[in-house]
Amino acid sequence: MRTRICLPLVLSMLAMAHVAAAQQPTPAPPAAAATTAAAAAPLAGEADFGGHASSISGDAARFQKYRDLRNGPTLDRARYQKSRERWEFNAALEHAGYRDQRYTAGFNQYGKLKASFQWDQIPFFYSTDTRTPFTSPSAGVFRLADAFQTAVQSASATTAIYAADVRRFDLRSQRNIADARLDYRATRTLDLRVSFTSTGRTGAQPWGASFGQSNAVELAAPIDRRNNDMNATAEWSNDRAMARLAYDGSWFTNHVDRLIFDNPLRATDAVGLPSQGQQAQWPDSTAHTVSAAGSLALPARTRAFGYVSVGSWLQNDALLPFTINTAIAPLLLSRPTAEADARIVAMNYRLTSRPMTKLWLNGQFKSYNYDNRTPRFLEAQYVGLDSSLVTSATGGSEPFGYVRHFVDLDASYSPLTFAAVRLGYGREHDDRTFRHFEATTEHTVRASLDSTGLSWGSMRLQYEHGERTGQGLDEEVFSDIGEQVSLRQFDISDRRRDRLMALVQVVPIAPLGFSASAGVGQEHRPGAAFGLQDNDLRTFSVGVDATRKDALVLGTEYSFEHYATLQHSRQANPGPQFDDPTRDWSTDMNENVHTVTSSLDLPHVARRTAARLAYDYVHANARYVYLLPSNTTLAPPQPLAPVRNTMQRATADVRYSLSRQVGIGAAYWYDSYDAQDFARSPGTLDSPFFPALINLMYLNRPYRAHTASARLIYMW
Amino acid sequence: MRRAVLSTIAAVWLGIAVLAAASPEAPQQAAPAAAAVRDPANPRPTAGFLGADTCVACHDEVEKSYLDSPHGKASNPRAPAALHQCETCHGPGEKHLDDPTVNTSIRKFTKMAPREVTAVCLSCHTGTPHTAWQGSAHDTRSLACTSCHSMHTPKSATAHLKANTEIELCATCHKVQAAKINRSVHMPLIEGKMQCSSCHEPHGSTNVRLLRVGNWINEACVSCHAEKRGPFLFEHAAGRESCITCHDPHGSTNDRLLVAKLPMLCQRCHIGTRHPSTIYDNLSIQNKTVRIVDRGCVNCHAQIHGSNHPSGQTFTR
Repeated sequence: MRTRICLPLVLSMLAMAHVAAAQQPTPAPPAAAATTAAAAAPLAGEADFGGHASSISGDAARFQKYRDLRNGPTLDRARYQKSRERWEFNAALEHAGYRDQRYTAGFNQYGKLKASFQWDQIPFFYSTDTRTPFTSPSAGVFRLADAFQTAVQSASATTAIYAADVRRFDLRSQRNIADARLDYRATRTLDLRVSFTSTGRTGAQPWGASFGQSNAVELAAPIDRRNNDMNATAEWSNDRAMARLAYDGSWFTNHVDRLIFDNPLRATDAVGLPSQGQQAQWPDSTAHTVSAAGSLALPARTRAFGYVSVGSWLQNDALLPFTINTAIAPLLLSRPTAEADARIVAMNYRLTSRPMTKLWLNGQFKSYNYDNRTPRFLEAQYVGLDSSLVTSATGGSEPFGYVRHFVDLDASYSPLTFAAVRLGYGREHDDRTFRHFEATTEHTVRASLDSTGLSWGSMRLQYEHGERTGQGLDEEVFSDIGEQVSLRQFDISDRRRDRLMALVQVVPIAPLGFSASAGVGQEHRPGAAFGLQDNDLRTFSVGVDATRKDALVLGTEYSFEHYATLQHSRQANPGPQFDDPTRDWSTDMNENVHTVTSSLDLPHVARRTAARLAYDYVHANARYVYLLPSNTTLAPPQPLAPVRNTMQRATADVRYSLSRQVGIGAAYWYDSYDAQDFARSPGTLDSPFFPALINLMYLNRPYRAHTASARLIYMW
Repeated sequence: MRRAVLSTIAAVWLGIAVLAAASPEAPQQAAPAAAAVRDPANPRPTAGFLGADTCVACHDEVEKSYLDSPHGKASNPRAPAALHQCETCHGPGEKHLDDPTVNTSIRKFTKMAPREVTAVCLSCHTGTPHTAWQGSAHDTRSLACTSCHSMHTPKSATAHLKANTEIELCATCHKVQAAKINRSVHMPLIEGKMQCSSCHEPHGSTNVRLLRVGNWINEACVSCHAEKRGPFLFEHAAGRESCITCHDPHGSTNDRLLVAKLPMLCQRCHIGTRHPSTIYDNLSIQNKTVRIVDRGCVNCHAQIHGSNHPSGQTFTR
């Protein structure tokens, strides 16, 4: 089933390394200080030979996350470029030999052909200290020792017995991406483009599985997937018109289609007491889209643009049985495969005009139709948690679909060359199936003032007011599934929203700049007795930039964000409690986030020496507070601890040029992470085994890391 | 009533366009003749054009940046170097040579209105990714090409950006989103594996929020997270509606980029009887209740994006 990367296509392509070169060096390792190379014949290549080592206390996996920072030698930031009058070739590699390595190559025959290839690896390091008593005799199968299962089943032992079987392992996954692109300019006005991307993902990830609310297990679910994407486009364009035809195809394959996992409490099947469970994993699927677009310049600086795409998402995997509990009589499937089929039609039409120099008008209509044609999977009953028969509240599946229509009108007037006042109106109307509103309509008005392009700075101000209302309320949707009929699901509920954002940048003298921004946003959901009610936002930031030519570049910014939400619920069992308002409660969430980013570049801190210093800091503090009405009959809840995390990084990088071609560099960076999380801190999950949960001990753990690197820089 | 308001607005807008088109004003700066062909035998092929040698006699500081850029590749018939060189973008230089102090003697992009600047660039940059610029979100806010790009003094290694990196550039205006990528749970932007343009197309898009791929938010997300594309037998409507109902793709302090912790996020929509509507407080933490510790609701409802299992109605299988 494995799909090979199209090697002939790869081998035939060389082109400029657009993507790799655009990926600037990041804090790991820190960006190198600027070179002081004298003006001479340009150098064709560069490579850093060196090594790095880290001293880590705490969560080494979280410290690395998307990076591979194992101690050892490095070949990094290697670049090669060769150019002639008519063509250019680029190649680059990053962090060769490590899990996060990247290779790119590109060829550009100016005005004729561009070809590129990239191989990029993105690791995800979850945990170095994961633990599990499960073994996997094959991919997706998780087994416990039969003897222990029997002991627990007979009540002669608790789940703590599995501690004898616990093994520790690293939990990680890897995403490998091969991307090849070819852009051929057949004529001065005709471009032909083709691209192919193959993404493979392997490894494992934390995954929940359950036999009931008192018996859940966390598994290291295997990942073995591949997605192949292809695009072919033909585009004709000049300054008057454009026409484009494109095809996009995507093929997703999952080599682990199910999880089978033992029940820690049972060795043998019984009704209501399964010895194992089976979960479906991601099904194979395909997507195909054909699109056409065109634009035409019209008189009075007017341009019309149109776009239509027709696509289908298909998935037809064989369905698993209702249960693998042998004590339950098999239920017949109403069909053997999913027959999942969604047709997607999207349209976008735009008319933009500047009939007068100072006046700009824009009108846009957009439509998106997600037509879910999957036949309803009818079932009067299913097997809940591989335990027992459950009567389906809905009679089967609900193939959810929707149609969205957008209309946007904007008018902008520029009383001054560098100032524009804009008024806009937008309307979004959505029709849906299987939700509590058949349709929703949102009207938005917006006004903005933009002053840009001035030598002394710029200013932006925008206000937006939106009102969404639902139509065709279907309260049976709620009553069928035991929900309060006055609940309104926040993503489609009536909503009133106001947002005001302002940004000012001032450059009083050329080397010095200041910026400040502020934003306020409020959302209120009238008519929703239950669910999310309010969602508010406040932000502000201040920043300073200073540049002294060839001496220093300084940038620093502080930003603050405040988020607040309020939601209502009612704690109730079926029966009289369901209608008892004295059992109402609310959650008031407040989160504050402080962010500081700063950097200082000193290209000539000393003779032949450049240095870079950087510091980043993020501190977030969230509280979830439960509120009860004055007439409550509920027991007072014990307050939850705040959720906090703080990340810091400080880096210092120095580079000394021994000659025009050789230099040495050294870097140090300090990382720290502290977290307080009531759900996943070491204080909460202090064991893999709890009466109701066997977990992997994938935690939010702090770390401190000191990393040093040294490198020899060679340029040729 | 609402249809009447909408119709009135559209009618007024069309009326303005029609009336104004009847008496158009001359544009401030004419777009260069894109079809003009350079004749090496005639250094001044068209009246008013002087040639690059004349320009760099005074403006030698920009010669290198021009020659190093795609604009300076004469072998590309679409490049300015194959047309009128500097004057392809800046217009004929004869009047400027006569009196350089007059701002309108030549196109000075720092002195031009944003949409005039853009008109010049779009006269050559007619194809993807610029085909959807006009009427795009950035165009409505009067950004010009030169708001982000600099031909002669770029700071980035590619794309001629006015900042060292894309993230730095976008953060100039999008402060909140740029701050979020530094949060503890983030996509690999600060590690250099992704950029803002991995998801967004700043030049204009047929998708919402200037998303690069697809025609709706979910189509953009599943271009990388294809396993969640489906369709599935049992759909989670909130997720099928939009991924950002539950996730904040720019960054979050909550696991899996969620906008709030579990179970509170789920309890925004699930108010029913028994466990969905229960308060999970610190006592629940001490008792290691699976509905709040570790993965919260997703300890059991692991198939939260949708299930293909016949018993997957509640996303536990």
